[in-house]
Amino acid sequence: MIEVKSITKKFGNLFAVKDFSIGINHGEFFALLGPSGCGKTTLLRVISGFELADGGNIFLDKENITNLKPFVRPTNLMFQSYALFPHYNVFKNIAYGLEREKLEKQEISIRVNEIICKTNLTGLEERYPDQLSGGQKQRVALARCLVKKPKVLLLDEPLTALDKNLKEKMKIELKNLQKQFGITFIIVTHDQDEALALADRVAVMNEGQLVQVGTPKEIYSKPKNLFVAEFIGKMNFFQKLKIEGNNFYFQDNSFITLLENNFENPQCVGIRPEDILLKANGNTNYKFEGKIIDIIYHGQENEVIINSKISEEPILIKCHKNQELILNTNISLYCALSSFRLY
Amino acid sequence: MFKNKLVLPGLTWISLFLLIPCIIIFTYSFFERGVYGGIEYNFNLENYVRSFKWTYFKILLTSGQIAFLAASISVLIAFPAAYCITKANPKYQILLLFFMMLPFWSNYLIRTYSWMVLLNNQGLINNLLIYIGLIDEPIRLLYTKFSVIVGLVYNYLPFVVLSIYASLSTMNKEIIEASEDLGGNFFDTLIRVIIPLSLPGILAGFIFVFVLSVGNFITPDLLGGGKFLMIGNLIYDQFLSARDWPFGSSLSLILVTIMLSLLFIQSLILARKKL
Repeated sequence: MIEVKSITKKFGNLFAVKDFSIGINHGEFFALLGPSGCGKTTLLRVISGFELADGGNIFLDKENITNLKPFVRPTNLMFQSYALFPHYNVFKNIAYGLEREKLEKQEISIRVNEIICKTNLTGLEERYPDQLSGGQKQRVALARCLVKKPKVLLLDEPLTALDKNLKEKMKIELKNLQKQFGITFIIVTHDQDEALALADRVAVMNEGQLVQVGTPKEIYSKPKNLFVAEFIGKMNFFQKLKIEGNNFYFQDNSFITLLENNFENPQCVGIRPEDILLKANGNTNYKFEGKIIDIIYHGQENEVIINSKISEEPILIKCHKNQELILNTNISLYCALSSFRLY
Repeated sequence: MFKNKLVLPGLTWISLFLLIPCIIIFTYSFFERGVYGGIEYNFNLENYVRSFKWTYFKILLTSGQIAFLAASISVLIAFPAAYCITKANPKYQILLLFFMMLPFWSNYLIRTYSWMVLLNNQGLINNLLIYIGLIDEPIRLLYTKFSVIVGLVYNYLPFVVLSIYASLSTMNKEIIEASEDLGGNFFDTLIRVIIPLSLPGILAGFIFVFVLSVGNFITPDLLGGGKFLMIGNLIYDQFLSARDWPFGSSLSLILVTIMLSLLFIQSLILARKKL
């Protein structure tokens, strides 16, 4: 169990991380998600010991590790650049951490070979980092950390450098390894898909502060505020013109009766593209008309852009590849009242 | 042959002032000295045989020994200095390098003479040591191997610092952090990661000092007091005092061969290291 208690880190007068607290359970796959410059990497470096906090404490299994040097911390960090030792081959790279623990040669060899098997690196032991592909480098970096059996493994943007197909493969591999080893993973990423797909829980960060923490489902379906709603997934927003009681009025004076009024002074109402349907069903109780102005082809699920009287901005909806839609025709769209949320 | 014509000025310069003189020296080395100086065009290998006679070979060995010591000491001093500069606030790094280079912009002779003043029997260092009471009478510092090495190290140190600094400052910081993260303390990290990865800079600095020291004749002359010859002095004497150009040429060629093979070895090591 790792507890981060009101960690603050300043660079000059700038708060990189401000009063950040979070508890992460043992064996959890945890993601720190936020835009570039939100302080997520700094927080990771504070946890790993490369930056000293200006305030607050970090506890690992009740032990205060806030001021421990990186080389005595029971945490390991997988760097964004992988940071493999270019002058050592794969075997020596992985053995490096165990050699520092002054283990017997034989034990080192057994443990390294075991991890090489588990991370699919068999046959590459003699290769040097510059003879490896991106995916292989990443697996070596991962193996180098895992072989030390850390209590917490920190991963800094682990998938950013990989191409799309490899990224998908590595996502599955990372998840499997995490389950297999039962080690707490804390991953830092700016890619919401990555965070949602990998993590048991996600913490959304902005400007050095924690905005929302929850399971991927909670974060996606109930974003706490406009920032989270905009940052996670796609969302159509309708600017507030008039609200009377629970009635929200659109531009054409049609209105919806919201089920919950979750904000004091809402700015707008939002709905996910996939919640706007082309056919009515039992739950849909709001209908509006629109004209198709663009279709963006993605393959299985395409994006359609609609102009409608209910909003000044074009509206984004999703449609399955089997649905035949024709550009510049008018269509009716349906949504359930429960899909709307105020921000 | 040369696709880019921009190479021509440089190529002309090198041919005129480096290649052609080398060829002349090469040819001279196979001839004999005339009775009143000058060259007798009798082809023979006598000069080379003479070069390897113990009297002269000993001088070559001494030169190598002094150059090796100067190069090693330079690296030992320059590495920590360069390391500290890379650790300093990036704002001041350029300034620190500037101060390190500053003495180098004064005249070589003046700097060497200054060391004579410092190392003299009545010089600053001896007087200071006597004043503190560490010694009773002046110790001999000037006109020894020690003073020659001091002079050589002092003169070439800035270049070694620069060359090691270039290696250290372009190193991926995350690799050093990875070593710490994996449990390596400062010394582990230094010996297993930082030094191996800055080897190109260290090697370049070492060879630089070695090559320039082994052929140097001013420093051994002034700070060594002409008490022992280095190969540079020997060559100098052959050309200017003994008027034996052919022998001087053969000695020069031996020196050039040693230097070139060192540079060749350096490039081999670097190619194998793949750094």
